[in-house]
Amino acid sequence: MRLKWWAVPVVVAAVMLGSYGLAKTIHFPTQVITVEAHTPEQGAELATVRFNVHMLKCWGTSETFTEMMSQEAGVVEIRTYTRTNTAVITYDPARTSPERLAERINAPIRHPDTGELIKVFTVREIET
Amino acid sequence: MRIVRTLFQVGFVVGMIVVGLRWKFGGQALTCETYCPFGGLETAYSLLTHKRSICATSEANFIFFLGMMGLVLLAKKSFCSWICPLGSILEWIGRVGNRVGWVWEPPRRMDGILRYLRYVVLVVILYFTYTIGDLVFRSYDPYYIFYSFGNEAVVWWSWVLLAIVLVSALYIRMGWCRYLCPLGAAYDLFSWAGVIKPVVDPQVCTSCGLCEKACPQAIPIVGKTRIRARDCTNCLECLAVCPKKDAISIGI
Repeated sequence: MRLKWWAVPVVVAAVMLGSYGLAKTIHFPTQVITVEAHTPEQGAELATVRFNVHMLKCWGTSETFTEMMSQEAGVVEIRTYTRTNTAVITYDPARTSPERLAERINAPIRHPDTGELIKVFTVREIET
Repeated sequence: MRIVRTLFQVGFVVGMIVVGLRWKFGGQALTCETYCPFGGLETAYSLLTHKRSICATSEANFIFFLGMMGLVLLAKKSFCSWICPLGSILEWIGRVGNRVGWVWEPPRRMDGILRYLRYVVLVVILYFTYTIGDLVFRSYDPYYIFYSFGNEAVVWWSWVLLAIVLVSALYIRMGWCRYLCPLGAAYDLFSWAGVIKPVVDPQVCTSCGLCEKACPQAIPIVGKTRIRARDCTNCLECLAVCPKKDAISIGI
């Protein structure tokens, strides 16, 4: 069966737009870390805050971020989305606050090999 | 039809330049890697076995890879001639080479053998990426070097490699795509089955060979009724240059 030549660009555009739409819609977290030790007793109210973090860009930085934040008091769950540089943190408001968490994210961290203090992450936006 | 394809190519090249510049100077999250279908193949193993992506890849790369595989099944390797922002640049450079008469076409037998090189490249990249668990070939990837505008993985010799790839396009038409591109090699698995392809009407065709000369992939066309060649990218160049109306068309 013969087709018009424009069948090719139409198919290309349709598949490309479909893939782009799917990629925009389907968004899995890079990591989901639940900090068992910080889980409050049942019935306790938890809050969620979303941070846009500069340098939260790949699996490696996500691991560094979750390791750092899981040690912070009151942090119950950390979800990272490296594609959008986003971290969603569930926390116990009785023990910490978004400002305190932002301060921790912005603070320099110790390099595991050299022990040198280095600044890695910077909070660009906070959404409570 | 050439204008439409050029518009597609320019659109994707400009789009990717904007993404690269916004990432480099504007601190945006999206990089040229976000949209790379080959990143989807590189991360597939890790995504399926460990439920995690490799390095800066994500499920978006995997979706793009599956989408482009779907496109291959529908319209052969149209990705290469309509979307690929690296292939477009190489094609434009190749046109300059063609105009000044620098293009050299390897003998058909040699060309056939050289085309297998890309499978070696594909296997080597996937082997090391899967075993090391990182995008270890970034520094060698012309697409990444060009559109990341010199990210941390790009070293001085990466620019030399990019220059070699770009300059070689003046002498060998689509040399990178034909002989070395690992994404093209991955598409080859299904390209032969692509539904939409050029078809030749032997009753009208005069076997003048203009279509073969115009084909950027140097695919033999004369004497064929359906172009099943795995390298056909549905670029429509053969249709554009054919002097006989309806001798070559697009068909199923």
